[in-house]
Amino acid sequence: MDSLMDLLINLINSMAVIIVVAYVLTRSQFYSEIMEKRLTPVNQLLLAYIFGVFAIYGTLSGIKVFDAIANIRDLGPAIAGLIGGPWVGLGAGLIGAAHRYLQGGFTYLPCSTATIVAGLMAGLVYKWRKGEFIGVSGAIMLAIIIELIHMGLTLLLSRPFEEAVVVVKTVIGPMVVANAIGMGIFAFIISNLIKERKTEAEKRLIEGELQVAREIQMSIVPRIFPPFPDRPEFDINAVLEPAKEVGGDFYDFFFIDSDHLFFTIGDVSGKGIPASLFMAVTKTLFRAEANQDASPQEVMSRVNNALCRDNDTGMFVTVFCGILETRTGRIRYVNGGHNPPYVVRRDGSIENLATGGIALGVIEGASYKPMELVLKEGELLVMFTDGVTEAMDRKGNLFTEDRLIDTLKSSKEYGARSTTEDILAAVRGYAGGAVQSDDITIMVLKFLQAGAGNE
Amino acid sequence: MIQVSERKQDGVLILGLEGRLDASTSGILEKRLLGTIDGGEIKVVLDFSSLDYISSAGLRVLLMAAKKSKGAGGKLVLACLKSHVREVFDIAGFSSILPIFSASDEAVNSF
Repeated sequence: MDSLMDLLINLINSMAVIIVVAYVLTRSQFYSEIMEKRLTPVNQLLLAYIFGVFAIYGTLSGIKVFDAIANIRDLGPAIAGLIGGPWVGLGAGLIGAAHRYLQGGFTYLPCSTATIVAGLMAGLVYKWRKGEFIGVSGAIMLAIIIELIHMGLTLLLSRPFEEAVVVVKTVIGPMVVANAIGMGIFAFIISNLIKERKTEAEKRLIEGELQVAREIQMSIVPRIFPPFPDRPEFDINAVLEPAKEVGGDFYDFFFIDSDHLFFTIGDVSGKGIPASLFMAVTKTLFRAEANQDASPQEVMSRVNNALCRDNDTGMFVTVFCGILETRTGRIRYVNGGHNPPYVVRRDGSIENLATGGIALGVIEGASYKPMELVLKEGELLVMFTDGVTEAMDRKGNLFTEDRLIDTLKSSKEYGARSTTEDILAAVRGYAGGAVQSDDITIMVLKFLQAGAGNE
Repeated sequence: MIQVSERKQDGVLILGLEGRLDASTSGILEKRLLGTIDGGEIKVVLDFSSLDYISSAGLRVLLMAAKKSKGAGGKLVLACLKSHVREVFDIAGFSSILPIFSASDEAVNSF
């Protein structure tokens, strides 16, 4: 009993050496090529050689039992065959067998044969599985079968028969167990590697798709500035920086007739893919509902109702929208839960359009209070999302409305573009290197001169 | 990070929120709240006195929980919001649809 335990422990010891070397091997570049099934003659030779050496190590670290050596040699060619195919298994098997053959001894013939058989059988399994790794339990079963065949060969080929029986009786337990465990651990390492590579590949696929989604999303918001160079009445500028590849902020502006510009800015709850889908829907709904006969509150209310229907996930979107009358600078607007914009007056004073309303998508039938303001020549309407006011520095302190107001106060030139850029620079500067936590959107509308109109 | 503590008062369940309610933590609160409502609690007060920050993701969870509670014949009530947290609710217009109280006793008595 004692020596049986010793035997087992010794076999497991030598197996541990192989496992460590195997682990390092599987993390190498060379091995990645094998994983990708790029089996060049060089790869195959190298693999056969490495596992042939494993086999020899198995023999050398074996324990003498009577006139035989209990060992884990068969593992080398078996693993080689499972991961490299029949030629590799055969190659490793021949190397291990040749060395064993030269050691001589009572069981030299069955042992050498078994080593070659191990490599070939594993190689056939590889072929049967068309190169797909057989998995942990399959590999363990293969290892057990190989050892049983090994024992069978010993009984068959070693003489005197009585001595062969004694040897087999002694070593069969430890050798089957040690080889099974060794194979099990190695198969486990390979399985994990395969899973890891699959996950990496899936991740790259998703990242690729996100990049495309970002391009799509960026292309659906107006991106050419100045957008209406032939319109002297006003200028408008906007920036949108999603926190992730895609985001839930949006802005939009378009003429509903020759003298009226409809504009919106919005922020969907959350960020990333779900928010971006809702953003696309909301933006499109506004385009669909806005027309020359509809007031801002009517448009807001219709879009709200449309968003409330089929809204199982409870997403909502805050929106500020308005209509600029280019002939007069008058803006009719409504606010649906969005950050109230600022107005920069000619005398430099800054007002906040403190007006409320409920975010869209929450309650069907919500109504919105129509409001009005007039921009004189040179005055600005500054719209933004909370990605600006809630931008954080590395310590988690927020940019806040106060800093936004300070930025507006200290602007040099109050152009639509320059103001947008000033605010963005201030936010970026404040954040330092901190990771952007929310989508940032800024839109500035500047009234330049009353239009002639089309009477 | 967010921690949710629990206590009962006059048959009303009071959940104390501590930390931040944002995109990364809202899932935790969502699970807890939905579990509570599924477990039959129809009188729930959310105590915000230790909550430092709420984002739109957090608002969304509260909205979903309020709708679910209402559907189950219950009510979800908020109490002790810090001023900047209250502001978020006010701007989004949620103060008109979610009952908000300044003290938790007031909230408990509202049932």
